[in-house]
Amino acid sequence: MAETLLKIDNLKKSFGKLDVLKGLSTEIRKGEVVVMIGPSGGGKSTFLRCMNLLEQPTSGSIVFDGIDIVKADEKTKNRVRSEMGMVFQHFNLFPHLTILDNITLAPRLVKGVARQEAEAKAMELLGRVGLSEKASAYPQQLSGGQKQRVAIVRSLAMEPKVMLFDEPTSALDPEMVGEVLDVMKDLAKNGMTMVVVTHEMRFARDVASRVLFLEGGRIANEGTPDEIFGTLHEGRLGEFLGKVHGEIRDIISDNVVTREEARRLKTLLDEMPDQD
Amino acid sequence: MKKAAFALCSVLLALSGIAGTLTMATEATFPPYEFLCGQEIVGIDVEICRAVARKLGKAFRAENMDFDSVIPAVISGKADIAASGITITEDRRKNVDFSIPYVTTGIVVIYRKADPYKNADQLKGKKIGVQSGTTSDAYVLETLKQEPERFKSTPEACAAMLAGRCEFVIADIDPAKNCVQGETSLALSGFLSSESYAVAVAKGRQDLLAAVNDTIAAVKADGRLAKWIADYTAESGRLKEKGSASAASVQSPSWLATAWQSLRDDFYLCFLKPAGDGTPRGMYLVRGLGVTLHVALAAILLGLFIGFIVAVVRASHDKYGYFPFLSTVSKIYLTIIRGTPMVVQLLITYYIILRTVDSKVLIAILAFGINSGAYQAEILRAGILSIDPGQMEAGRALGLSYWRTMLKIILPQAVRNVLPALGNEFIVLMKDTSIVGYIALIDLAKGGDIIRSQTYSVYLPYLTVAAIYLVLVMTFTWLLGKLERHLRNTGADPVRNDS
Repeated sequence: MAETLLKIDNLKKSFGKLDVLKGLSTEIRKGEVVVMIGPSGGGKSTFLRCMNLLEQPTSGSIVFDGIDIVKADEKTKNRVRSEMGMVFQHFNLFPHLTILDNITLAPRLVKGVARQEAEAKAMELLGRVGLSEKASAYPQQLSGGQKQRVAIVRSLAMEPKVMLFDEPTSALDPEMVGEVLDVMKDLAKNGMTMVVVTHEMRFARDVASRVLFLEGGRIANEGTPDEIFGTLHEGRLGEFLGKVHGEIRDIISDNVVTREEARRLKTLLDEMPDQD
Repeated sequence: MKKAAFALCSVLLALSGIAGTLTMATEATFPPYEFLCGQEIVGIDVEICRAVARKLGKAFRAENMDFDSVIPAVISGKADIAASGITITEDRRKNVDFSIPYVTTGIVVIYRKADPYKNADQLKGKKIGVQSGTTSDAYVLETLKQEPERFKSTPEACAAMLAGRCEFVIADIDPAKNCVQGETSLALSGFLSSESYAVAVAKGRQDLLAAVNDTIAAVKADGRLAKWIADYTAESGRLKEKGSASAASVQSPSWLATAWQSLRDDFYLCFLKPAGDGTPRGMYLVRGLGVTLHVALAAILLGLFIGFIVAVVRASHDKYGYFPFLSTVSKIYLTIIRGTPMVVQLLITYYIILRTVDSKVLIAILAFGINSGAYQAEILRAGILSIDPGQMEAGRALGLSYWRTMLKIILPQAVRNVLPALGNEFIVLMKDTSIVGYIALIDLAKGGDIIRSQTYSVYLPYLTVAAIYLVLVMTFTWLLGKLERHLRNTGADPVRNDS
């Protein structure tokens, strides 16, 4: 078994009186793609944001590289964050900088990489996601899918040990979801350790090495995609998956019914004698 | 409390004594006693005080300020002695010690020949111009029991009378003579009352008072005083020979030609004619413009610096609860600065906080910079709060520290968003500097004022000053517009896509 990258133990987080995470424990191993699914308000995003300390956990521990980063000082936290990439739902590109500067800012400022070297690396990564020609553009000039691909590249430029994705396709128009998921699949194939919060069940089934179902601030179920999606479940997970599948069935059947009805209508119309 | 303040005064006075400079407070628009000859303050009072300094073996310096400030300057220790044609009164005696009188004089009425003055009954209920804070002021208030029209100087009051803004002017005999000289439409009455001029020193400085008395007695005895009076009366008369040539001008062909000729004469008088030191009067405006720009630009930069720090501290506290102590300090700073008038802050800085600082330009820069910082801080804070929190998260997630994210990611966007409001603050600040005359700094506005006080011409100096401010502000607005367009183009203009 591959070495453990992140060891999370009994993690709790409250906002005031509201307990959002009620003690989660799991391990993320090198090269794993862990997908977190579950209903809204279940704690998926909060859990993810605790991993790179964008949210300070209330208690519990997260061991990364042999140190408990929950109790680390500010300097260590900054270093830890620089070793974890994060991709946001709303991209959060820097609108006042060109695409190239968006990507090279952190390597130059945080890691002290020379501009030339940083830009060469950025261009290579942009090439990999098919956006070389956008290097000198500004974020406003890009589509949502392009922005999210740039955001992924921006994280990759820091050569992170793990990539965190917080609903990376939720803010995209449907026709742009594919291009972003393709980049993520490519990353997974190349052995990147990834933790992904998503509602894309097909992506979870196809790419995940492990699926966590978060519900009510706890990990309610955990298993391989086959274990989660391939079998019938009791309780909340069953309900959740049923709802998701139901929605999909509804969409498909809606279309089918419409098409069949159209055909039947046409036949009926054809068979009908002229009224006038 | 009073005793403590007095003790502090004494200590500071003692310190200024050690410094070896005798500082004289005066208001230099009172010829022949004190007036500006170019940049230099000259006159009878100046000679007397210089003689005192020489007797004490000290260096000498004369400080020009509003007449209202002359006695407070002595009391507060800003100056050692005050001589500004100050009449001995019982009220003033309560606050300062007076030397023996060096001149006995009196107040007279200046009137237009077209509207002759006959006796004091005539003055009742009329608009009477005086120099603010003088015995003439007190005479109108206490003897005539009415409010005078107060001006900063007697020439100003006369100019106002000629412009129809008051019916009579009451003034000390010497400045009154000076005003009437060469102004054929004006005349003087006999004394309304007589009074004596003396030098004022802070209470308790017996040694200094004795030195002043000895000096006055000496210059009276050896004829120096009489010579100074004759010399400076002639000198101030020369400074002000107003249009004596054009007074005898021949009949003009038309009113238009007359107006044009008078405008040309006025222009020559106000800007081209050499002032006492030989440089054209217009140099008052040129040097004044230099001071205005110096103070305004330095204050803008200081304000930006303070504004950035306070804005970041306050916004960090608003958003993340950082820096609770600094945020409280910032709040107090904002409350005090925004809750008190700029003029009062300037005077407090000059008379209390920085009273040992000599450079008035530096005092003005600090006062205006600290004031503007408060307004800029609030503008920038609004800018910071307008930035999506995702920007901070993205910066932090990449490993940047809080301050680095602030500096490289949040502030550039915040400044871009509030640039119009920030530019507005710069413009307001630039024009606000016109109040530095309160601390006797000669800026553009004060420069125009001095030309007016020397020439009695009101239109040209003030309209020119207004025009220069307008050009300054328009230039500045244009530059800001350019910057704004530049910042907008980097980021939103699709044309740049191909570049």
